[in-house]
Amino acid sequence: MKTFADKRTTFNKLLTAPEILSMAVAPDALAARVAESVGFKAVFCAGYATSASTLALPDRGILDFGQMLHKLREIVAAVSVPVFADADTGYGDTENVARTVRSFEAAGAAGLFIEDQVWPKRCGHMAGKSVVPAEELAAKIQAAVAARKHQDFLIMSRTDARQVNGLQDALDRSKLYRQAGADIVFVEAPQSVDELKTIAQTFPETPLMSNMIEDGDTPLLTAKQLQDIGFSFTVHPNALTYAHAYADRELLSELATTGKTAKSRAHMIAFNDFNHFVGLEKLNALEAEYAPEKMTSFIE
Amino acid sequence: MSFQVTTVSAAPDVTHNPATSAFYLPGDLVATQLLGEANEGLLSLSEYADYFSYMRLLTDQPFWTDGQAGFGNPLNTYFTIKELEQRGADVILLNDQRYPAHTQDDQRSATGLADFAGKLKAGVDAHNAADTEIWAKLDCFSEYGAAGLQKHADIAKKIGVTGLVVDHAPVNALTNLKTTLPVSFVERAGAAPTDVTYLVQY
Repeated sequence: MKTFADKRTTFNKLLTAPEILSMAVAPDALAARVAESVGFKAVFCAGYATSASTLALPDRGILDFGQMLHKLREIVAAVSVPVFADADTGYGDTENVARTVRSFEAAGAAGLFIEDQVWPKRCGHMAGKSVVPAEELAAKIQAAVAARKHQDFLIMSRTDARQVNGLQDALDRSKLYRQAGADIVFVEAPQSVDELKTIAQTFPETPLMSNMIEDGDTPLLTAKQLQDIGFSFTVHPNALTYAHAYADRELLSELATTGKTAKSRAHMIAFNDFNHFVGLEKLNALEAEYAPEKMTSFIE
Repeated sequence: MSFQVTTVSAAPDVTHNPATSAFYLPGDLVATQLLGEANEGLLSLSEYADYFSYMRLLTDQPFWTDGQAGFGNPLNTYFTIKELEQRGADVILLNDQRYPAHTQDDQRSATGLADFAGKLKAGVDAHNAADTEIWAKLDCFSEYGAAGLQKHADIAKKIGVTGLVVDHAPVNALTNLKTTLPVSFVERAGAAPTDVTYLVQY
């Protein structure tokens, strides 16, 4: 049985390397493949992008466990680099968390995070969030740690308390989640560089994630700047979703109004280039390997 | 003595048989569950794989999966193996039927030897030996008889599959079969040979 041990080992090494791990969220398998092809060493599968690409809906807790699992499997199968997954609130109580962990681990994720929002949740940078009592997510973290099959399948806690109760509560909650067994800590939506520094100073020995969302609450810093502050990995969760939507709108507006794609073609990958990128020649060659004439030595 | 393989069609079949040596999820039973028809060829790979994923989470015992006739040609077979391996299969069976495979006796027919060989070769090339084994499932004894069974077994061995399963065959079908591969038998009519490696109980 495939265990995906290689993916988890690689991700753990990347996480503890001196250089910060920079990741992008892939809305689909093709985007994940593009990310890998330009050098990203790991890929993130997350709710905002999956809600958009799967449902064309905002990240407001309508996307469910099954849809997220499906997307995760598609992305894991499309790339050879590790994939880290967003498990929202764990999709219910501690029993749901255990099932989520077992399922995401079996699907080949290198790890996942669960958060302390009230379900149905919101994107971490949307107004109107609310959080459950900290003990509730601590219990979920414990359930997640107990449910994982392999100790190197990483569990990350996420708190959304910064917006609701202020930074100190977010830090206190994260300490509790760390004590409950979280391998990585993620404080969502800090509002200044000073807050980012405070988070790093509070958890000097703990792997930390930062979330770089365009037009969000957190100032956008480069990976190097975040590394210098003390973060282990950073994610751009929405950039590809916004870029895809922009490109779709531009091209389709032209097509709708002119009946042609002439202007947009300059921004398209060409037919042959795309087929090459998704491996058409390799697939054709693979098929030819098993043609009847190649099988004669086996059937004579 | 043969090891017993438990055929499953739903989660309780797995959870109620923790001591079995292996589980097997046949495509026809999944088709019956999802479509109301015992016709495995109606199922797509993704539907079968999704269903299998639920079963896989319930046990760490070896799990055999049904790659049918590769869901198309050898290229489809290659990706069938990749998908089922990704889902946690331990053994993937590839049968010798013409695509789409069928369950009923009056609908089954053997594919050509070159197509059979191409699919097995694609399967062997696609799999990772540390994760899965590729076995040939020989379904068409009624069409090709003992000589054909021997021919199919020889091809499978030459290509590098590591096991054979004989299905839809009489109890004496294996009497003259000569192979170094482990041979399993699907017991459908309450009678089975005694000298097979695995006995699959339907």
